[in-house]
Amino acid sequence: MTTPDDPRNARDPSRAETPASTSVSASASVSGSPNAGAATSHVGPARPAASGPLARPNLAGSAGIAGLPDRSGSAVRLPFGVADHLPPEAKALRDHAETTSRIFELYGYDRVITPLFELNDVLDRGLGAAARPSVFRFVDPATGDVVVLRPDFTAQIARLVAAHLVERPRPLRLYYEGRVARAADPLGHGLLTRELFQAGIELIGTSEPWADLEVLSVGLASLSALGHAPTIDLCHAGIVDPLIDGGAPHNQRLAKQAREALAVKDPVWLQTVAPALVPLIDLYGQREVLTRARRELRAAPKLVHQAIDELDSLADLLEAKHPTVRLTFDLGEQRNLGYYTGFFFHGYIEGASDAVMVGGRYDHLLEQFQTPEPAVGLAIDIGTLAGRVLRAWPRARSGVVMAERDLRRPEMVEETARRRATGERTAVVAADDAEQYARINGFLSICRKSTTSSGLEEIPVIDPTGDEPHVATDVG
Amino acid sequence: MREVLRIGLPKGRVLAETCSLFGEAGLDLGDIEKPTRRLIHEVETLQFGRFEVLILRAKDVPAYVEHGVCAFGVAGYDTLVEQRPNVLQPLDLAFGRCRVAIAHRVGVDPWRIEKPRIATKFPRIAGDYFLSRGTPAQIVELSGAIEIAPLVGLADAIVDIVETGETLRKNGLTEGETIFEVSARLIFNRASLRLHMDRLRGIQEALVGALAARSGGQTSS
Repeated sequence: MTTPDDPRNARDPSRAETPASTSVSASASVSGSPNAGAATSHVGPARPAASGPLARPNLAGSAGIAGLPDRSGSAVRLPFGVADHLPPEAKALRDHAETTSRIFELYGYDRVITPLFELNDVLDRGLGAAARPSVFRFVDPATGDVVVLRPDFTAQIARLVAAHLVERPRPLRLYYEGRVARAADPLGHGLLTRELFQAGIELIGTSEPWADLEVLSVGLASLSALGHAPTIDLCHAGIVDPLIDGGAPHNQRLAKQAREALAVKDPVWLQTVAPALVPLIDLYGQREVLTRARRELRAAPKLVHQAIDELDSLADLLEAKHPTVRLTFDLGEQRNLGYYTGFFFHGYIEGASDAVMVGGRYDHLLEQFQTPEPAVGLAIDIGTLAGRVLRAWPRARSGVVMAERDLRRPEMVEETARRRATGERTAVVAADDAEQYARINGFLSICRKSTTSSGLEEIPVIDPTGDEPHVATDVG
Repeated sequence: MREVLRIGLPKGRVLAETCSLFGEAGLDLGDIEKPTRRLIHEVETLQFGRFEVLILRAKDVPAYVEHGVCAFGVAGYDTLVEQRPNVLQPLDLAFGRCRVAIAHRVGVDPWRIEKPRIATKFPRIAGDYFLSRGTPAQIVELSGAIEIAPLVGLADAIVDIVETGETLRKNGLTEGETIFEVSARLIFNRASLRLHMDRLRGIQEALVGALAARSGGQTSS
């Protein structure tokens, strides 16, 4: 693409941190880092290790920028990839969690709450090796056990079911909502957010097609309730896996590279590690892909053809129940935490740069916790959805500010209580600050002592147009 | 009628090659390669609808596509390996061919040095390559004129793009092993590809057709 003397190749500050950018860190990567083993395993194109450094500015880990006054101050610094969520966003996040919970409950799902961290040995059974580089892991100071911050709910719920719900009649319908922490992207791409807000369901104890359809329907209903009509990309774990296991790569290192090459659809790299898998790269598109796949994968194991048939009949079911849903297919899709065994899917919407919903069938996960049974589920990325809503729509205004110099004045206290009892959002503010307070915090009106009578009067807050952040027309 | 899709293309020499291949595929980008200060161009094609083309620095194209600002774009494989952006890269466009290779002064073997110092524009690629061979290299990241570094003692060797090897020879360097081959790739945003499947697949297939026509032409001549 470019030549050595090409002045266009300037330094890219976001990649400045490498495993060996100084001699100190270079030796540390070899002797001290658990990733050193992964880094030594390359052949062919020298891919950075999946567990390699994150794409981030060099200064993220330092106390400040040398030579510049430290305006932010280390007293309020955050680790890379996490953030505070201020009033409008925090509210949007809660609204999204409530909306999805309401839909989940409409379909008969019951809420469960799982711990923030778990024993490494236990959760690792469910998540598998692929998830290891993306897990925050630390030593419990009280017991010496290695524990992990949950990177995912599904493996936790599999454990919860094995621990508490073995005797319950099947199917089990459970839902959750909360945060997960990811130290790094499992595939080593840049990861901008390391704390994700998810809401999701698990339908446990049945492998019937209606269960797959139900989970997809709940996902579509949830996104619809949030104002989105997603495109669903249908995939199947039973296509790549048999081809890798029974096909070209005979060792784990090559198999891992084949998965990484498939994950980004890199035909040139895949050709060098697993040429038999190259046709998978192009097997994406509309429904005709299934026909094309049957032809191009003629020689593939029977399992692969069963998987294609499964996708075909699932698409029939889905189109019959949701005639307007847009479906695409991708038989080479290869990126998830590794527990899917059957169909899986991603939901995409306009304005989000990656999937906002992911789900699928995982029939061997519960087996890892000594209760073999089939299951299917999905997770919705409500963090991304809430952030998108904030950009798309200004915050809805509501409620009243009670403005009064003497905050103990009996008729004001009474009026405030009366309004709250009717469910109106009501805040009390000293009179001088009332208008600015109401504008900045999105209140519709101000209630104050009348200037013409002895009672109270309510005046609307002028809707500021233009530059005021977070305050605009009431959309509610 | 159809939505305007945004394309991210690298400025410079590769732009001309991109335009001619896209033109052969029926995606005529008009005169956007002509030198001008305009960095945003509107393009309307009969076959594929309307586009907005952004002319970007080669290294920046993956970021625009990863974040969905551009639905698709063209990026060098060197950039993709160095940056590891979360994009799909299903088509090798077969131009912009070169290689990322090690080079050093004649008589200097970087592998015999215990902790070699390597100058490069690709710190991640260089660091991982040496690590993968058990050699913890010390990486010096530079942004241009990499060939000078070994001559003046800043580095024992360099990892850089090599096209003909002429620049290396002129600076008294010899080319060592190739780390990987580079060519231009078509890259897609993950969501855009699914949301505009018909149109983007159509473009990809037209490019595949144009590439096939080219290689067919070569074999006959």
